[in-house]
Amino acid sequence: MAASLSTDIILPNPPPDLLLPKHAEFLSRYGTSKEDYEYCMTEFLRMSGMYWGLTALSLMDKLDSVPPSDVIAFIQDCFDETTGGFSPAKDHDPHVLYTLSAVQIIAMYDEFKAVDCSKIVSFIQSLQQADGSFFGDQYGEVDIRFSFCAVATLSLLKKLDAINARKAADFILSCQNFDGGFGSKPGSESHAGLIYCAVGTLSILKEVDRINSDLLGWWLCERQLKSGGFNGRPEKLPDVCYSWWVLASLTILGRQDWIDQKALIKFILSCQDTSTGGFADRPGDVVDPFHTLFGLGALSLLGYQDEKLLKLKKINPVFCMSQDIIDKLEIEVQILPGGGAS
Amino acid sequence: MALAKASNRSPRLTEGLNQGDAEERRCSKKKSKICTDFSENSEYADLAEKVFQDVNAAFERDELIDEFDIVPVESKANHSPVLHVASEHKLALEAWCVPYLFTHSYKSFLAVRRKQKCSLSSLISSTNPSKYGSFKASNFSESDRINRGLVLSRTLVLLNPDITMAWNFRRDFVPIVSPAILEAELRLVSLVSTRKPKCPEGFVYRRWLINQAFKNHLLLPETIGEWFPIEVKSIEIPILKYFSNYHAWSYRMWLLQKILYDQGIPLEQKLLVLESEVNCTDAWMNTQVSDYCGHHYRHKLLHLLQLTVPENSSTTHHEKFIARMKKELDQNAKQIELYEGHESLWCHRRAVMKMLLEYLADNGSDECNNSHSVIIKDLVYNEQKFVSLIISDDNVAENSKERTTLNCNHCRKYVAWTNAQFSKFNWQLSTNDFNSSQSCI
Repeated sequence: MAASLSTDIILPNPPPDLLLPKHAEFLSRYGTSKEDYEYCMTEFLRMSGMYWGLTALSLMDKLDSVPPSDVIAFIQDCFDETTGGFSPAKDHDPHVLYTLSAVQIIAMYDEFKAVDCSKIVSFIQSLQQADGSFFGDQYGEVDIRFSFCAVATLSLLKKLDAINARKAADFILSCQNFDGGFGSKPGSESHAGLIYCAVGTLSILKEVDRINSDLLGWWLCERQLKSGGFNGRPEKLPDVCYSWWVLASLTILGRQDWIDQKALIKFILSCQDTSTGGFADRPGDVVDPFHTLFGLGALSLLGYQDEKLLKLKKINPVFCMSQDIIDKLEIEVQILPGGGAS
Repeated sequence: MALAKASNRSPRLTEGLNQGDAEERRCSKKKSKICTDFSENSEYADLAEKVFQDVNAAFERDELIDEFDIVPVESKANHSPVLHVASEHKLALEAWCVPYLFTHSYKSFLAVRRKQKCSLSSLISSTNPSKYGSFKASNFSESDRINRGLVLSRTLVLLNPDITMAWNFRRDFVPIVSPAILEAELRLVSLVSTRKPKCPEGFVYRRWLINQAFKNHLLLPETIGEWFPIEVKSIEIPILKYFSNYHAWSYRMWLLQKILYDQGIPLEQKLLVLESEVNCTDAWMNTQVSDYCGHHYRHKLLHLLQLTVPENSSTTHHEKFIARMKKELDQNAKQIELYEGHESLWCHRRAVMKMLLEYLADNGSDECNNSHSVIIKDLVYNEQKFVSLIISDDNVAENSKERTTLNCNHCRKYVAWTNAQFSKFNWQLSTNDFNSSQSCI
C-alpha cells in the first residue's frame, strides 16, 4: 500500500465481501498447527487469545466448533487458588488482564461453577488502592486498563459492591487530558485504546455523565482518516483494532453517527485476508485472532449485513461480548442517548 | 481451535542445572526434520543448552553489553551462533538458533519455577529482600536453582520481553539493595529495549526498579537533579528508535511526576530536574514535528513548571511563565509554516493555547485582571492573523498541493475546535481572510 503524505494508506478497490465462513474456519484452526516455538512465544497471552477467538466465533454463532470441556479445563488450569486470579497459561503468574478474559469466557459458557468465584472477587478487591486505581497484580503496576478489567470482572460476577466504585471512577477521571481523552495513568497521553477502557469503566459504573462527551467525541472523530480507518493517536497509521476502540467509545457516548460509517466499513472489509480468512491490522498484513475480533466487533456495532444476509450477532460495546450473554446476566451499562449533531 | 487442547500438552522439561534429564534422553529422536519440540528431542536440547551457556559466558566476560540483536545469518558448522564483540559491548545471535534457544530456555524456566513454587512459596510472598541472603546461605541447591532461573529469565526477556513471569522472577529474586544491583538491572532493561524499543513490560519493570530504589534509599533526595538526566538519557534510545513511543514517554512523565510530587525531595533539586527537561525538550521540539508523544510531554512539562514555584519569586515566576508560553506559541507557529501538514503541531497549539488562557483567567488579582484581558485580546488578534495567513496559502499553492491543503484542513479544525472550547474567553476566529475577519474580533 502506498502511503500518502497524511500518514494514511490507500485501500484496494473495491473491498472484498465479508467472508464469515472463512473467518470461522481461520479461528477454529488457529493454534492447531503451531510449531512448538511459536506456541511458547505466544503462551504469555494465551487466555486473552482464547477470549478473542471464542468471542469472534460466538459473534458468528459458531462457538460449537470448539469442545466446551477443553475450554473449561483450560480455564481451571489457569486459576490460581492462592490469589484468586487467572494466569494467561498454566504455570504463569496471575494478573487482572487474564482474569477478565477468563471470566468473560466463563460467562460465555455460563460456567460460573467452574472455579470458586468468591476468590476472584477477593483478588480484585485486593488490587484496589486508596486513590481508586488498581494494581495489575501483586507487583504494583497501575494502569487504567487494570481499572477496566477489575470493574468489568466484578460486573460479570455481579459483585460491583466489593470495591469503592466512586473512587474507581475518580481515578479514571484523574487520567483525563485537555483534549478530553484518557491515558494509561495520570499525565499520560490520550490513546484510543485507553479511552475505551476509561469510557467502558464509567459506563459500567454509570458515571459516563462525568465525561465532557462533546470534547471527547471530537477527539475520537479526529481519529478517522481519509481511508476510513481509525488511528489511535495523532499522526499514526490506521489499524483495525481502533475501529473497535473508537467506535465502541463513541457508541457509549451516543455519538456513533459523528463518523463516516460507510468509509469505516470499507476499511474494515479491506483488512480481511481473502485466502486464509481473518483480519489484519491493515490490508495485506498478517492476520490474527485479535484483529479478527475487533474487525468483526466493529462491523457488528455498525449493524453491518452483506447481500448474502450473513449476519453477525449483536455485540455489547462495553464488554465486547455477544449482547445475548450480557442480557442473560441482566447486566445494564450506561449508553448515552444518540442523535447529537456533529 | 485447539488452544485449550494444546495447553494440556504440558511441556516436559530439561529441568535442573545441566542438560536434559534422563527421561528426556530416552525419548525418540526425529533427526530428519527441524524440530524444536524438546520433549521429543534431546539432541536439540543439548545444542540449545550449549548456545545458552555461550550467551551466559558473554555476559560474564562483559557486563557492559549495551546492544543486542538477532541477525539473519545461515547456520555454519562448528561455530557458535553467539556473536559478541567485547570491545564494543555488542551481542547478537544468529537467527537460526533463536527457536532452539528460546524454546529450551522457556521450558527450562517453567521447570525451575514449578519446583521453586512448591518449595519457596513463603519466600515469594516475602517483601523483605534480606531474606534472600539468609536463604542463600542455608540452602545451596535452592539458591542454585534461583541462579539458574535468573540467567534463564535474562535470556527470555532478551528474546521475548512480553513474558511477564520472566520479569517477575527477577522481582522476586533480585533484591534491589545496592546501587550496583540497581544499575545492573537498569542496564538489562536498556539492553532489551535496543531490540524491542516499544515493549511495555520493560518499562513496567523499570518503574518497579525505581520504586524499589526509592524505598531502599538508593537514590538520595539531594542528588536527584544530577541523577535524573542520566536516567532520561537511558530511555532516549527507545524514544529515538521507535516513532511515537507511548510507553517510553509515559515512563518519562511518570518519573518526572514522581520526583516533583515527592515531599522528601528538596525544591532546588526539583527545579534542576525541570530545567534539565525544558532544555532537553527544547532541542527535541526543534527537530521533531510529527511525534505527538513528545509534544504531549512538553505540554505537561510546561504545566508542571507553572505549578512548581521557586521560593519568594511568585511575581517573576508568573511573568516568566506567560512569556514562556508566548514563546512556545511563536515557535510552534514557525514550525507550522515551515513543516506543513503535521497534526501534532496543531494539537500542541490547542494544548498550549488552552493552558495559557485558563492560566490567565485563573491567576489574576483585580489589578492584573485588566492586563490579562488585554493579553487575551492580543492573543485572539494575533491568532486570527496567523490562521488567516495559513488559510490564504490554500489558494496560492496550486502545485505543492497535498501538504498545504492538509495544513489548511488542520487549521480549519483548529479554528473550529478553539471556537467551541474558548467561547468563555470571547474567542471567535474566522476562516475568512484577515481583513474581512477583523470585524469578528
